[in-house]
Amino acid sequence: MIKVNGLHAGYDLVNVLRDVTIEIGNGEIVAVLGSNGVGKTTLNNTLSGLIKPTSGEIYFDNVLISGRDPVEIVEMGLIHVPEGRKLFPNLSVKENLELGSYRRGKLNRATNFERVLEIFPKLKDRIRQTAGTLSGGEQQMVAIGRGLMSDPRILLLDEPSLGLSPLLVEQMFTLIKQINDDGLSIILVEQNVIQSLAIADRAYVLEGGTVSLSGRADELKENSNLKKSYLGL
Amino acid sequence: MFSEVVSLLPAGIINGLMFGAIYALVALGLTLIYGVLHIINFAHGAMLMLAMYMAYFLFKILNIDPYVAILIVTPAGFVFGYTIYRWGIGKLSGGRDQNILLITLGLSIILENSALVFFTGDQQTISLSYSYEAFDLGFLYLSYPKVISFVASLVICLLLWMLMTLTDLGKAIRAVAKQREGARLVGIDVEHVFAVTFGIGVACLGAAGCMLLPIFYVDPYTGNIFVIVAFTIVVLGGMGSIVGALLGGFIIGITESVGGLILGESLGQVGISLIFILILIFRPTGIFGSKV
Repeated sequence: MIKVNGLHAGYDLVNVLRDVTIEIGNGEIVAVLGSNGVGKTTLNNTLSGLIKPTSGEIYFDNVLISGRDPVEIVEMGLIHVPEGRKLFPNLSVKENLELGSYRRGKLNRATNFERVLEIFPKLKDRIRQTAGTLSGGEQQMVAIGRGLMSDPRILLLDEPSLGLSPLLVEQMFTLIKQINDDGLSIILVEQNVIQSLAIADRAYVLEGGTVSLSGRADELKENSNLKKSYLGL
Repeated sequence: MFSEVVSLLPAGIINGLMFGAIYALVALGLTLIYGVLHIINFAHGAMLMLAMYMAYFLFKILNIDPYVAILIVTPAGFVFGYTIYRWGIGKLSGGRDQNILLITLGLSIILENSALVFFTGDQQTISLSYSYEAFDLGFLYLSYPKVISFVASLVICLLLWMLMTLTDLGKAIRAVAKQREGARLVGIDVEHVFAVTFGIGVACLGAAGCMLLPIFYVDPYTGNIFVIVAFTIVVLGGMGSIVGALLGGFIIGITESVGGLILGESLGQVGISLIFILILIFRPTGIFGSKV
């Protein structure tokens, strides 16, 4: 579904990603793991078009999308739920969700809205509140909900567990799995290695801006290098 | 003396409301552009002046009534604003706020001096057949032009409010005001929305220019008279607030009108400066403003 080939990208003169090659198949959850500063968010921003790559290609269903504008990429159905949520703090929860279907999924707005509230019943009581007044967990729900409003074909989740309480983290991962079970492909970018590998089909490990390790999630769980670099075991 | 002022007070207040509505329109354009783009449009006065000249020539050459001309000058203002932002200000500034300030300042100089060359510095006025006809309220004559302006301004404010709260475009405008990156991620074309906002701001001036023409003169510097008042209104109402601009327009209109009654016409504006100073001391964010 998504093919990334020899991708280099960065900011101004600093090259963050070096020769990244990854692939995501239809209906998969693929985890991209790595600690702070290895280029996870840069990878996401390049996939969604916020950053133009310096070289390399990104294909979405065999269509070259690298270097295109985010507007076009959203239109094709690759939806990025960013780190830090990037909600519209001055707009109500309802308006935030509605704008999720600004470019794509407008016709299904009503049904998707109902569906999002089914997935996140907690948002029902908050629907008229402005997004800026919500707790971190609730904001994360709105962010994912906003992504789901656009009938995504693939969802790019950037650190969805960041800043959530341990209990909420657990729920969030269960939920991501549930959304995936409904047939949606997901790229899950996370620091939370154990939980991510528990729900992912495959995973890539980023180190210093390049893929250092990749494979099936259940195999990686047993990988001694991964344990060394992450768990200090 | 005192009883005389009191007896004239209702008339002063109503007159102030009428003029305040037009002030509100000028302020609306300014506050919208500031609220969304976070820039002060220094060419606001020059653009208002252009709108007044457009209405003036439509009247002189084609004999189009200025209130009918609202339907022409307002859309023209939108197209002018959209174009000048999308392919002028937006492109030249490279997205840097300080550049935008300089460009709008430069634009005002170009527009004012072009007006001086083409339209001369003479003050122009028009007179309509019904300029001096009025509704008789018993204690006050309300001239038709003032009543029409008042109603038209309210209608425009209402339409704008509906646009901002009920449509996707309006929500997108409010969204990019606070969170540009998030807006791009839901597929909002941010540059387009900025240009639309700038266009709407200038369109408000188009309407205001048409309404001012029957009751005020136009020369290349007329616009600035109103924009200075509009700045006060924007600060009073709260930067970026539509309701604030309307309410602020009324407050300032009444202050000026009642101040004129008590202190004499030429000192009427003292009250405006006084209000401005008081807001800055006691409520710098304005009535409907929020802390940034």
